[in-house]
Parts: sequence; structure tokens; C-alpha cells
Amino acid sequence: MPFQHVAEISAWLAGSDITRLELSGPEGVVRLGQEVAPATPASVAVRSAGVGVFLHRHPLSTAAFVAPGARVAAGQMVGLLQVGVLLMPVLAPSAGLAVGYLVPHGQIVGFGVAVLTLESLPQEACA
Amino acid sequence: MIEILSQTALATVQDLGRVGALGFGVGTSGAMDNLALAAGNLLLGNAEGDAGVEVQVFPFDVRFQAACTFAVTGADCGATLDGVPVLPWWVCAARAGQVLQLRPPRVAAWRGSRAYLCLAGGVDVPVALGSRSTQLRGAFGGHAGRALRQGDVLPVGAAGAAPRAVGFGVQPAGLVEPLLQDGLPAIRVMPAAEHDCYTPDSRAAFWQQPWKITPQSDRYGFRLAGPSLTPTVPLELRSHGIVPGVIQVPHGGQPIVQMRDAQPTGGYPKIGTVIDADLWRLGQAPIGSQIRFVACDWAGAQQASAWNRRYLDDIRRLTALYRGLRDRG
Repeated sequence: MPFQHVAEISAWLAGSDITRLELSGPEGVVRLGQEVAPATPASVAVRSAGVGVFLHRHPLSTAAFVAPGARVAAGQMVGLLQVGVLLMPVLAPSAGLAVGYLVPHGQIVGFGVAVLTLESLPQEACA
Repeated sequence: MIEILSQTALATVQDLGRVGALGFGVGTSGAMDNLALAAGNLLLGNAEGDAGVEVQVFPFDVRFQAACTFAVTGADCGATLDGVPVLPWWVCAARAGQVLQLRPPRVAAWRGSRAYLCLAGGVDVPVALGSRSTQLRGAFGGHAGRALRQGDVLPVGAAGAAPRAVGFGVQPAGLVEPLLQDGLPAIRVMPAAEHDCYTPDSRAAFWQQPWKITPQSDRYGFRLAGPSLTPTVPLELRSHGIVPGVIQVPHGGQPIVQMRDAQPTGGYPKIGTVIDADLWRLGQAPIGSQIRFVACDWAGAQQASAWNRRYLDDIRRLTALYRGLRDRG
């Protein structure tokens, strides 16, 4: 087993979900492992502050306020709540990465309904 | 105060028009899209008829010389404030020194051609004959009786003392109540005095064929291109009073729709009149685009006016409620 590749394989492992790797060959056996990541990052739901029609985008626009994977700042507008002709902002309560909308564009939502999931930013990004 | 930064053309101060002066030979002027201007004012807590800036040539840049709450309504022109996009038909706050830029209107779910910059407190130019609208023909009203130029500084009226919530908006009228005929924007028209003087073919063409807005279209009138309209016998009329919306047919057979800056008299035969409630729809039709005329009677015209009224009343009621909640919270 070429031990000079252990560092390289370890780096690959670190970027994967694999917790244990065992390689055996004529020269011996290599066992590599990594600690299970501390659960999935905490996620936060953006909730509707009232009853209305939830919109992913402004009625004149074709682009959603946030795309999956986009970084969202605290207080950033992530959607609209429409009541009659009135358009009210739906704001992110905290910073995070947008996972995706939980209700379709144009759906009626009630008070407190989760409309978007935000994943907490990785630790290093908060520094 | 706002300062005009661009070498702009044809941007004017407009309110809802100078009504009641036709008897003196003074046309009404006023916003080509009166619903957009009124909606912008109501969003800001202004009086519905406060003056704003009508922009029809882009780009258009202004600098806020003092902090100001504003809204850009009408056509969606991809506005930015110091480079940061701001939503159309939305209450925004500008700090002193910030620059608002309007770009050529985008093709959106609803396509317009004129944008309105509305300011909390309204554009505070002197009232002339009951209106702040620019009377281009008479060179009075608005800002110095003319279109705005680079370097012009417009005063803004005192906004209400109460804190003003920002960051909310309304649906454009063109999305709430789209009106289409065979896929083209439709404009409701009542037959006018000389309608029946045209050949049956001409009348059929008028109601059933598309009409193109030619480049010879402005705040005075829209010259349309389409099938030739021919009277059964040559028509000669004395000059008589006309109003915005009147569709005249000169000898060439191509109609002209009188718009907000129309002169108050004319002598061409009239085949129809765009109903008052739909003048904003025509006013937003871009040059080069096509429209259709659809027949309307008096009752239909009144219903259309009632719809416009309801749209603005809804905005007034809902924005007042929302602003109240936000200002308390």
C-alpha cells in the first residue's frame, strides 16, 4: 500500500460523508476514519407574518428573491405577502443559506407558516 | 430637493391634470398614466393628486439632495439607488446624496413606457390654474413651464411629520386588471359623432384590426398606423372642442388619438373616443407596439371608471392600515 497517498485520501474523506475507509493490499491494511460531523447545521424557518398570498418574486419580475443555495442576510427580503393589491415584505429573521421555498409561488398561507428554510452559515463564515 | 443629473428629454412635472380650463383654451395636461401617479402618491401617504416626475426617455438619473421617501411607479425601469436595485411600485427611502437611476423599461408581465418618480410630500412647484402639471404648449405650470433639464433642482413638499414606513408596495393596475384582445393590449372606445360616416369596411377594420403606435406619438397625440379609414363622402368640419381620448381621422385615413397635452379644439372627423378610464393604458403603450380597440358604451365606460376608483381606494385603505401597523410597531 503506497503510504504516500494517505494524506491525499484523508483530504478526500474530509470532504465526504464517509466515516470509515479500509484499504487492504499486499503490503498491509490502511484504516482511515473521521468523527461524525456534529449533526446537520441548525436551520431556521422564515415564517409568514400574516395571512395572504406568498410570492417568490415581485409580480413584475421573473426572478425569485432568493435562489437555493444563496446566502441571505438578516433582514433581507426573501418573498412577498400579497393581500389584495398590497405587497408586504417577508424578511429573513437571521442570516443563512437558502435551502428552498416550502410553499409554491402564489399559494395562500396563514400566519406563522414556514415559507423558506435557511440553513445556518458554516462556522468559518460567521467569523 | 432632487437634482436632475441626466441630459434628459421630455421628462416633465405632472399631477392629475388641469381640469376646468378648457373654456380658456387651456388643455388638461397631467400624467399620461394617471393611475400610476395616483398609486405612487397613495403609497407615500401623499394626496392622490400631488405632482411627480413623468419620465419617458431613459436613462434618467436624479440625486436626492436631502433624505426623501419615494416610489417609482408606471413602467418597470430597473431602478437602482446608488447601484442597489429597488423594486417598482414600492416605498423606498433615500439618504441625502444618493443617486436614483432609471433604465429603459423592461419587458415584464406588464409592459409600460412611462415611469413616475413620486416623492413623499410631492414635487412642490407653484400651482397654476389649479394644477402643477407642465403645460408645454403654453409654457407654464410644472417646472418653469418646460421639460426638465440637466441641473434642474425640484423642491419637494413637506412630508407628514409622522414616521413613514418604507419597504412595501402595491400591484400595478396593469397586472390587477389586464385587458387584452387577441393577445394585444385592448383600449375601450366609444363610437364618436362621425363614426357612422365611415364605410362599413373602414368601421370593421377600426374595431377588428391591430393599430401600431408610430414614432410620431407623444404627449400631444398618438399617430396610429393600420388600415386606411375612408368616409363614405368627404367630410369637412368646422373646428370644435375636443378632449384627450378623441380619435380623429385626418385625410390620410390614419387615426390620431388626442392625448393629455392635446389642444382643446380640432376640426378632423372623430371616429371614436378612448374612454377616460383607459387613457392610462394607451399612455403606457410603447412606440412600435400594437393595440386593439374594443367597443364600449356609456355604462361600460362608467364601470371602467368605477374600477379605477376602487383600485385607488383599495390602495389608500390597505396602505393606510399597513403604515399604521408599522409606525406603531
